[in-house]
Amino acid sequence: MSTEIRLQIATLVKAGKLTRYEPRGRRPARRRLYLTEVAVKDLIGPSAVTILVGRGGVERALARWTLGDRVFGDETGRHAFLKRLCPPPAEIWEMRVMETRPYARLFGRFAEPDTLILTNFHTRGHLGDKGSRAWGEAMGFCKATWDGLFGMREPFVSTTIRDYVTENCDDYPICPSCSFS
Amino acid sequence: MTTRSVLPALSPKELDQYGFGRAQDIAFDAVQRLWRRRQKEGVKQIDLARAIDMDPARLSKKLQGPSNWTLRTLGALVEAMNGELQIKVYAVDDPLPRPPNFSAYDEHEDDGTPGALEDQSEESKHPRGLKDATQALGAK
Repeated sequence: MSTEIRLQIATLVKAGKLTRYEPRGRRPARRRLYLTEVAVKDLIGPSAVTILVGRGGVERALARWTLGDRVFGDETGRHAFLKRLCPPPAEIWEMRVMETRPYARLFGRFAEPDTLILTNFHTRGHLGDKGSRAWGEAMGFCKATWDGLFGMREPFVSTTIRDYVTENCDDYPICPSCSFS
Repeated sequence: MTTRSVLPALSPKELDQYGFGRAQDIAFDAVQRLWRRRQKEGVKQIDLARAIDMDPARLSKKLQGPSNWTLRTLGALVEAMNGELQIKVYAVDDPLPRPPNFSAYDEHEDDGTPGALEDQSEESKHPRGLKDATQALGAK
């Protein structure tokens, strides 16, 4: 793991460009999560996500991630909670908020294993069908935000979910037939 | 140890939603741990469905994720998997049974840079007890 990316993140946190997400409760974080300024606004609102989905429902997903709870796939061996989206752009991930209706999708990229940078949140309804303009814009915004923060540094890239999430994670393919749901 | 978040505290409504959701998630994860073990032992979904007379399609949906989980879901699935349920609720100011020797952020930001300012909310000064998981699960 790169000391350089850690220093870059620490600098961005100090500058107020990233906010470290701390899980509630007694347990320390097992995984790292940083929110961009836009993601913080999307989270604390007022935003479409806070109004329609609710901050409590979103924070539940953030808690699952940071507390090191199971990153689960479904019974058919597919992604359920965390998914790498079909490019372009490459290496855009979504965290799925599916326990409350309407659903939400939290977009971000991995800076390194177990370290997510979330950039923008959207309701699932806003994104529409596969290949929609809204999906493209949301993914493009994620990449543009990353580029604005990290410059030429590429996000972490690998081929198996276990490389991205090193503990307590179901072993599912990270881009099975590029399907949307 | 970790510092508290700079994010504003959850509103009462958000806290209710969060507490209920976390209870569902914790229940789901706990049942999934036993389910994975039972699967390795050869138990099939249809066996569970028969054990508690649940529609197989409904059972399958329950095992996909924690949405719509209730205390009934939890109790029924634990019994179907021949498990035993135990619920513990801690106060956030109680010490952990084993002091943590790992914090993801400590490892990540060991250059002394403050990652997050102390939350000055009343809640962080006076940590509240966790919601009773039973209440939260039942509060539909």
